[in-house]
Amino acid sequence: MKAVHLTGFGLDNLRVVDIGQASVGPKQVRVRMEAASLNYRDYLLATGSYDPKQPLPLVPLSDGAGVVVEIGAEVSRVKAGDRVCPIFRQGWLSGEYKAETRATSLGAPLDGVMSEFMVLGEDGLVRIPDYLSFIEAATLPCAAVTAWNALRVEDDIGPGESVLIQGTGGVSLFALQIAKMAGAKAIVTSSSDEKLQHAKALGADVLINYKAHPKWDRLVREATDGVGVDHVVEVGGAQTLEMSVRSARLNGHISIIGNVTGSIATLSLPLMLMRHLRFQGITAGNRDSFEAMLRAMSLFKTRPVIDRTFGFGELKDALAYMASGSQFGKVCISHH
Amino acid sequence: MKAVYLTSHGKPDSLTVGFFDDPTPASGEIVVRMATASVNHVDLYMRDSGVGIRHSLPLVMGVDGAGTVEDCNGQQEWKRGDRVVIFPAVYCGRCRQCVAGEQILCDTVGFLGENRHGTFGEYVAIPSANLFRAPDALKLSEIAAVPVAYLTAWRMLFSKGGLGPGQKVLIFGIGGGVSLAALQLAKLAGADVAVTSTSLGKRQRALDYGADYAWSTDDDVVAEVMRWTGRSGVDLVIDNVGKATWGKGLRSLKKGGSIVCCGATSGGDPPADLQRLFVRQIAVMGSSLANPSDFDRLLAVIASGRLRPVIDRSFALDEVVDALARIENREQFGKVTLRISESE
Repeated sequence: MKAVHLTGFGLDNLRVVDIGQASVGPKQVRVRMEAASLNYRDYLLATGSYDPKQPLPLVPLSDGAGVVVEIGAEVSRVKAGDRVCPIFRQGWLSGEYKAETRATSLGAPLDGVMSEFMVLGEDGLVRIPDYLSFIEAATLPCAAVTAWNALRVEDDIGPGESVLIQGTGGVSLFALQIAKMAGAKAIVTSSSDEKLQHAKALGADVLINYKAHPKWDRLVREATDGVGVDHVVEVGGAQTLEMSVRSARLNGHISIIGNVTGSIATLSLPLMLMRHLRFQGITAGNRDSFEAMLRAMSLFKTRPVIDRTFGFGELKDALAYMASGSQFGKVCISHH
Repeated sequence: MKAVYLTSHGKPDSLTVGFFDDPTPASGEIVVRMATASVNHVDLYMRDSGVGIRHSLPLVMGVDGAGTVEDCNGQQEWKRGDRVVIFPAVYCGRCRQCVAGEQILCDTVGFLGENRHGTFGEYVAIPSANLFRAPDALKLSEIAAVPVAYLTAWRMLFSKGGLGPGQKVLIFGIGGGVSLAALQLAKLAGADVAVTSTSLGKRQRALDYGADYAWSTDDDVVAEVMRWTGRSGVDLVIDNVGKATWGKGLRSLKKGGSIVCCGATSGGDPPADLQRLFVRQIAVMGSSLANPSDFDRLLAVIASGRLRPVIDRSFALDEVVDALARIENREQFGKVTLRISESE
């Protein structure tokens, strides 16, 4: 079958190859993959920053969607013809994050979704609601589940609360959509007025251009009557964390999700403790949370925001495009 | 001042519309000039018996309302004419629960219109902590309908029920103030909502207010729920009807689901069905009103323009008997209010 292999670190080391297929064992299914989506993690992985010890070659990308074409013995969760997404961490079905599930993420260390077919355990799949296309569903397993876990599993954002959302990348846009589903106020920062208008169309209540207002924490406090937000979806990292801390209310919740502006932050400990803040690391979420999120999305017919779709052989271009930061929404791959 | 007050319970002449002494504020209290009050089921209970509620007679009735500051009594925080909405629970601020932010569980909590003079009069003296600034988004005649119904629904849905996007909630008795408040808040929180009523008209109006399903209580509600939930049951049941619906509520719940009760208009002693509770791991919770911190959030939602209370009908203070009859006879769809002073 066709697949993409990362044969060395660096975007020039991605090539389409022809490899053999695994057989389907008991409690396993074969899925014909239809689409994939890119996460920043995939860029870090491909360039060697995420895990320099990752064995290669590797089939990249964690997030995809497809159709079950063959089921093994004793399979009961899905049947042939079901439209499915693999879950990001194949072993994390419910409950808290455990050590033994760390090594079960797709796209590293396990082979990912950039192949024509995948053989997966039946437990590692969720069924996709009918209203979503494969490309749309492919955006969900990591980015959307991460946003859902931040706002509705590790916190319980609801009416009357406020959420600070940084930028308009994958996790951030899902956080915006989920915050609005939950009845909360969404404050969005971006470097681009055009992206801010798109965010407004998705329901953002307050728009802040951080190029025009480098000290944007002041504007966040003004937008919340001086109190600060209940929850910060922190994807910026090094350059934004201190301002996020200043944007949060006392006892506020900061979800540590990403580090696009740098992974080592310097932060004053007194500043953290004097505000009695909660910092919560989020590493996607379990299958239960994915299914709870799908119930909410089905109710609202939420449409993931897709910026651009590339062809199966264009992963290098897709990764470079995503890393450029110019997109609004998810960058996807169509397998056919 | 003109007021509606009780001189006894359970008699035809228990309730008087007449003249009552103007309130004298104690230290720390502020006098509010009432614009509008709203009626609640507990007013019927006070009129008919008041048993179990510590109070002395005569007592000015009324738990809910909004108005303007009349006499600051030395308080710096407010000034005369400020538009205010009243938080009905008076708390000590010093007991363990108050200090923990659960003022509604205060050791000595008292309620306007139950333990102390209430809102069905031209003036009422209340602690300054019980005044909240009325958002500009609503008139005083509208915000007066908010506290009891919406605070109660808020605590039931969120503090007790943990309701969020995509979850399923069943609300009995749509038409009543709390039930309707629960519908509006549940939709704001992104939930999937089914309601019941014996009245076709109320069911139709509930759909207009965002209910996803509206069933008759004469139908097999449990069967409808099972169809709706793929046989799992709902996450949360909101009940203030009591005996007539309690069993259906329990049987509508998924394993591990919760039923929250804030009233029992049809009777308070349904069968406990303990086996069902433990086999299905069901949580049964009672709830009424909410904390001041919840009122802050609720008022913020109202100020943002995303929530307006549903007002069924407005009566003059003199017409209080008719206002009470309207809710006693279950005619209302939304809150019933009493106009007290010439105001917005």
